[in-house]
Amino acid sequence: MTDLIVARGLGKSFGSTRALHEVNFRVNSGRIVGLIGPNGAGKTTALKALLGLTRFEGELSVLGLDPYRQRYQLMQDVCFIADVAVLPRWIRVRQLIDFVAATHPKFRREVCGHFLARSDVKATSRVKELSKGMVTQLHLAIVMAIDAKLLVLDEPTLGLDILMRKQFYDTLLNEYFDEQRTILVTTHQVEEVEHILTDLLFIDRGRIVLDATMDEVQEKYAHVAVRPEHLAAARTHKPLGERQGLGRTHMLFRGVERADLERLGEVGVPSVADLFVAVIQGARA
Amino acid sequence: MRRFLWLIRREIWENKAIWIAPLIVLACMVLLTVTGNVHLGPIGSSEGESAFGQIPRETQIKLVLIAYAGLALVVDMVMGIVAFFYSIDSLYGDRRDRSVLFWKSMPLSDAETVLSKFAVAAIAIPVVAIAAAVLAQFVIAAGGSAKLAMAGLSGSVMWAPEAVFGGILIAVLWCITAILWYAPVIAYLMLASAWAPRGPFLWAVLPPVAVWVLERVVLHSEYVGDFIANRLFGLYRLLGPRSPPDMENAKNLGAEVAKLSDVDLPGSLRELYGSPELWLGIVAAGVLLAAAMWVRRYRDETS
Repeated sequence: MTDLIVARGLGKSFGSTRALHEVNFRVNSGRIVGLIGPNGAGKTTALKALLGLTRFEGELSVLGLDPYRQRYQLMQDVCFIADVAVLPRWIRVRQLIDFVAATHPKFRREVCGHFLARSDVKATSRVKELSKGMVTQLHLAIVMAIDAKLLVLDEPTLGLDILMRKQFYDTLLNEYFDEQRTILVTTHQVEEVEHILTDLLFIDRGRIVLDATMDEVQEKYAHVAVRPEHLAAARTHKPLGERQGLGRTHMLFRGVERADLERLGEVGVPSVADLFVAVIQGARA
Repeated sequence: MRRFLWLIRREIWENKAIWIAPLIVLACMVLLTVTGNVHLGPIGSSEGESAFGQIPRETQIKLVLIAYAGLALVVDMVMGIVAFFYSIDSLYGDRRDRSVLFWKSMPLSDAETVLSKFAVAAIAIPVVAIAAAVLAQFVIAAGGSAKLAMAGLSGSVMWAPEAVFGGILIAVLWCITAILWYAPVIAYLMLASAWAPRGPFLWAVLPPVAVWVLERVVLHSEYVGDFIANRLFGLYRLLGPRSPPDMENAKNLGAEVAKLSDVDLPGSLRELYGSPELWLGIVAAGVLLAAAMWVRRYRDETS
C-alpha cells in the first residue's frame, strides 16, 4: 500500500472564517474512503484543495503531485464530480461523449456505453432535456468509464431516488472498484455508503475528528442494546452516545472489553451514522 | 492538435451565432435579389441600370468591385459583433452555469482552453466571415446580372474576374487586417470574461469608459478616448476617400466614381502594416491573453 494522498497541516480560510484547521491525513491506494461531516464542516474545501481548485496552506500531495501547481498532470489520473448538475446544459449526450473520448486519453467509450445502456439517457438528447437523475447517471457513466487512479465524488447521488442510489453504489463497488483504484466520497446519506467504505474520515468544524479503517472501527467501537436493569452499570463505562429504543437503551462504547459489554446487553457493530453522531457530539462537547 | 480542434468544435457547438448570423445575412442578400432590389446606380430611379450602361466597362468593373468590397465589409461587421459578444462570454458562460467544474475535471490545460477560445474569435469566425462574404458576393452578382439583363444590358460585368477576385481578395485582406488590429480587443474582452465575478459585459466596458470620463473631467484631455476610438474604429479610416462620392444625387456617375480612385487601400494597408501601432497591439494581445490564462487557471471557483 502506498500513500496516494498525504495532507500535512492542510489549512484554508475564507476571510476570517477558518474552513480547515491544519488538518493531517493520509489515504492509501486501493481504498474507498468516506469523508463525512455536517454541512459547512470543510469537506468540500478539502476536496477542492485535493483537486487543485483552490489555494491552501500547508503541504498536500496527491499521487505525488502538488495539486495546485501541477493540476494539469494530476487530471490525467484523477477524476471527479465536484458538484451536482455541472454538465453543460447546451450539449447533446453524443457530443459530450465524443468530446470526452477525443480529449481524455483514459476514457473507454464502450464502458461508458455499457453504463448508459442501462439508463434512460438517449444519445440525441440535450443535457437540459434530461431529468436531474438522468444527468447524474450520465455524469457517473462518463466518470466510471475513465480509467483513473483516484475518483473523487462530492455528494454524487444528490437528487437521485433510492433505487438509483443503491444501483449506483453497487455498480461502483462491483464494476468499477479494484485494488488499483481509490475512491474518496462525501455524502449525507451515510447509511447507503457504509457497506462499501473501507476507511472513515470524520470532519467537523474544519478538524478531522475520526480517522480509522472500518476494521479498526469494528475492533474499537461497539454498539450495545442495554437492558434497563444494567443502565447504571453501562454508564460507568462512559458511553460515547446514548439513544432510546424499544425496551433497550442503545449505547456506543469505545475500547471497552467485549466480555464486560456482553453482560449489559446484545453487542453489535455500530452503524456509521451512530458513530458519526456520537463522535461529532463528543468532539463538540 | 487533434484535441485543440475538438476544443474549437465544442465552441462552435455551443455558440450557434457563429453560423446563424452569416446565414441571416445571406438570407437577406437572397431576399434582396429575388425581390429585384439589387440596384446598380441611383436608388429609386428607373434609369439606374441604363445610366450604369452608359459608363465605360472599366469604370463599371470598378463600381462592381466597390459594391463587393462593401458587401464584404457588411458581413465582416456582423461577424465582428458576433466575435465581440463571443469573446465577452467566452470565459464566463461556463462559470455562470457551473459547468466549468466539469471542464476542469478533464485533462485539459487552462492555457489550451483560453487559446482555443481565442482561436474561435480570431480564426474560426473570420474564416466563416470570408466564406459568407464570398457567397454573398455570388448572390449579389446573380441579382445584379439579372437586373442588367432585364434592362437589356450584358450582365457579364458582374462576373468580371477583376471584380470577383478583387472582391474576394479584399474580403481576405480585410479579415486578416481586422484580426491583427482587433486581437488586443479580443484578448482584453476575454480577460474581462475570465475575471468578472458576474456581468462580464459591464466589467469589460466600464473600466475604459470610467478612465475616459475621468480624464475628461479631471485633465480636460481626450487621450484615452482617442486611444479607444482609434482602436475600435480607426481601421475604417483606411476605407474612406477624402471626399465621399454623392451617389444619391449623381448626375454624372463616372465623375463620382472617379473620386473613389483616391481610396488607396493597398497603400493604406502598407502604411498600417509598417506602423508600430499594429504590432504593439499584437504584443498587448499576447500579454492580455496570458493574463486571461492566469486568471482562468487560478481563479477560485469554490467561492
